[in-house]
Amino acid sequence: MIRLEALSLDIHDREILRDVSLDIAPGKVTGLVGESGSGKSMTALAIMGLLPRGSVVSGRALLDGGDLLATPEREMCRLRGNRIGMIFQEPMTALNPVKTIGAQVAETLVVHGKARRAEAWEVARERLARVGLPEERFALSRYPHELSGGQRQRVCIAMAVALHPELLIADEPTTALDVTTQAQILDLLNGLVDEEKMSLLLITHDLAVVAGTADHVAVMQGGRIVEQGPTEALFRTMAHPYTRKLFAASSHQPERMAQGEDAPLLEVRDAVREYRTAREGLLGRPGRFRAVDGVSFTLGRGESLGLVGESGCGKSTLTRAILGLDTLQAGAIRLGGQEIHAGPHLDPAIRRRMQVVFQDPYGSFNPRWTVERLVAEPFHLMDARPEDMQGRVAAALTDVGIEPEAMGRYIHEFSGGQRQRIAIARALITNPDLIVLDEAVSALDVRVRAQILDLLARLQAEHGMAYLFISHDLSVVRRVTDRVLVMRAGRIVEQGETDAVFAEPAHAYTRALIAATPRIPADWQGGRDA
Amino acid sequence: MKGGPQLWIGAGLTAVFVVAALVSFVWVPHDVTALAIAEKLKPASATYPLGTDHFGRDILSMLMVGARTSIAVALVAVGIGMGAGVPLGLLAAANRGSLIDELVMRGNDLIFAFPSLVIAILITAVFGPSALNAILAIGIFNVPVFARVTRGGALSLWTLDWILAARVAGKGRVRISLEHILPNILNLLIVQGTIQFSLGILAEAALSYVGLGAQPPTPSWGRMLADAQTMIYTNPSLAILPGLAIVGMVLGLNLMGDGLRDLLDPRVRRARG
Repeated sequence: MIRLEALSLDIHDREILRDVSLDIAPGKVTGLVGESGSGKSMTALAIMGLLPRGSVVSGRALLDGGDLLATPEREMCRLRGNRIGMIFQEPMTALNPVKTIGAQVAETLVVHGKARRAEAWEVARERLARVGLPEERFALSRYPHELSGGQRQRVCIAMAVALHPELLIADEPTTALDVTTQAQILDLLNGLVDEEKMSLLLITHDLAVVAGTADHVAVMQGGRIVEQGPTEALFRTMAHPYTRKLFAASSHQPERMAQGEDAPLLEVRDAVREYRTAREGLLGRPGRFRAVDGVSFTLGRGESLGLVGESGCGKSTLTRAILGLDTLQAGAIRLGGQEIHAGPHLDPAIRRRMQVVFQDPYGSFNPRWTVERLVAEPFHLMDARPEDMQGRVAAALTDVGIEPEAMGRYIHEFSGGQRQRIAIARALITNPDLIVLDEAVSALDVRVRAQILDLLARLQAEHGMAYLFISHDLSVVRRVTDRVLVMRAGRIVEQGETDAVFAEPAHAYTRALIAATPRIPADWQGGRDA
Repeated sequence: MKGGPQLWIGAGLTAVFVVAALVSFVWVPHDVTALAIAEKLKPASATYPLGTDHFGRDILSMLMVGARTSIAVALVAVGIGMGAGVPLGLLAAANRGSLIDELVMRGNDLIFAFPSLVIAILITAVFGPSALNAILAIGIFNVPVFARVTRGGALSLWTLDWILAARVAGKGRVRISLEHILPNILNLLIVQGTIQFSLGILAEAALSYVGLGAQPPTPSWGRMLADAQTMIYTNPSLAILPGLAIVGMVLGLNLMGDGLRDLLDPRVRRARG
């Protein structure tokens, strides 16, 4: 078993961890929950001995009585992958793209001198089969790019458990995955913990994930563990105010009322968008992939419409078509009765009636522009820049809760949540009728997410614009939309009033999505005013 | 101080030659066109700090004016390369996968397919040897280099959300290329420019060496080397000094280019902490 005793860490004189003490029991799942910057990943790196330069550590990290912090690097190399395995958030970049999956799993064994090449392949075959990639369907000679994200995460798990480690550290292992895949991966990890009697340290920002998976939970804030205990007891008592705040934020319900009118704002009729795929062979004809396959829906003025689906279902393609960035092969999209023809010749008058907020607060802004210039960019759609441009930028910033003095600053000076507020200000500046929120809160911490959801609800009440809320996160969509569309493989498989769809899903796929969404058991939450 | 030591060593070395070239416009120790056979092959002295050549010309003065020739040729050649290559690269990236992109990139491949020195010789053979023709020849081969660097940098930017945001704001490809793309790949271009500059110095020296660059009486490092060839055993300093000048300038520019890349590339900067 692993025991952390008063682990403290400073990097370049900045306090990162303080007195972190944690027992990670064998055969159990220990959940480590916290927001970004709380030090949960650094705790994992400290155990692995992979801290960045300039780190000063104190305390002890005991593995079977030996202190990992005092172990020399050469010795740690033998421990890593052998007695301690680790998997990361992003399965897309965690594998070597030019090596086959069999070779990558076998390599772990060979590197540690645990097996000769032939035996290593045998073990690799068996381990890959265990994680759900049997050789009959997933040959060892496949390359990572031939697998989906969930399958790649399975390969990473196979590599991490190839040598039967005593401890597996999983750092946000399902954050980049769809809900149904997330449920499968969590199942797999739980099964491995039981079979191998290993310890699993599950690092996540999602309380619902630990509620369903972990035996023991530790909550981190600002480099300290503020509360820890057996999962159910911790959720039932929530002794620390921070835990209560986190919990309240993760199920936060913004105050809003349905205010959609019957007048249609956006009409999508039989939209079809195809992509060419690679030729099969030199003389083969290029294939066709229908990303959007006959989609029709209507969005009323001032309405909040959710669009739910897993990655690859065509929701991004549909968004781009609505925004007039991509052309449709068939069908039509109308905004306020005017048809949207994609391309540079789209009438600016239509274009300024719709704006967009993207997922990644870090990739949404030109790093070389000041906030004033960034927020004012959509004024390009006006015939002339308004006289009171600066005043209107200031008003938009005030509207989203950023002080107008921030206009002269650059985007790197702002946190993720502040950036998303600025992105909303940029979307508001032309007074649009429709704002497309493309996974706009998916990358944010729960408490920041709750604030942004409140902000969106308030702005809608004040300005009356419609939202098209695109997300893979059902729990968020459920809380902020009037109606919802469920999309799968380019088609809308179910649509209706949000409450009705969630209460009684008609389509099997919707039912599967809802079942896969992790949630905190309702009876754990009773008797508390959060 | 920002930047590593190599940036400052490189910049210092380059500055020595640039200052020498600038000074040569207003003052040189001796006239480099006047022949004084009586003073030929003098060793270094107070009057002639680096000695004289076989026509009695002052070596220091010739190196200073030679620096001017080299820098002028390389500078204009880089200018031609950037002036044509950057817009072509931006155009190709903005129209990725289109006919324009194909035309630009295959045109690049075509120029890359020819050995540059041979084409330079061809151009000077057809239009006559001169500094101007050397500039043209070197400049043409800079175009595809800058077009590629620009396109590569621009393509990765075109996939980002803030470019999408600019498109949602109704901006066209040209405007986005100029407002958003170009300022964000400027660091790439500066680094590539420094490297092409040093290659230009080398190319000018090579062309002058074979007599296809600047014509007498304009001094040039490459031709000084060629002239000294026959006297390499009797007066080795005549070959060593222009050789050192070429090596020093190219080394300085390369060090500066590497240093600039480290300074301007945020990934390297972050890794260094």
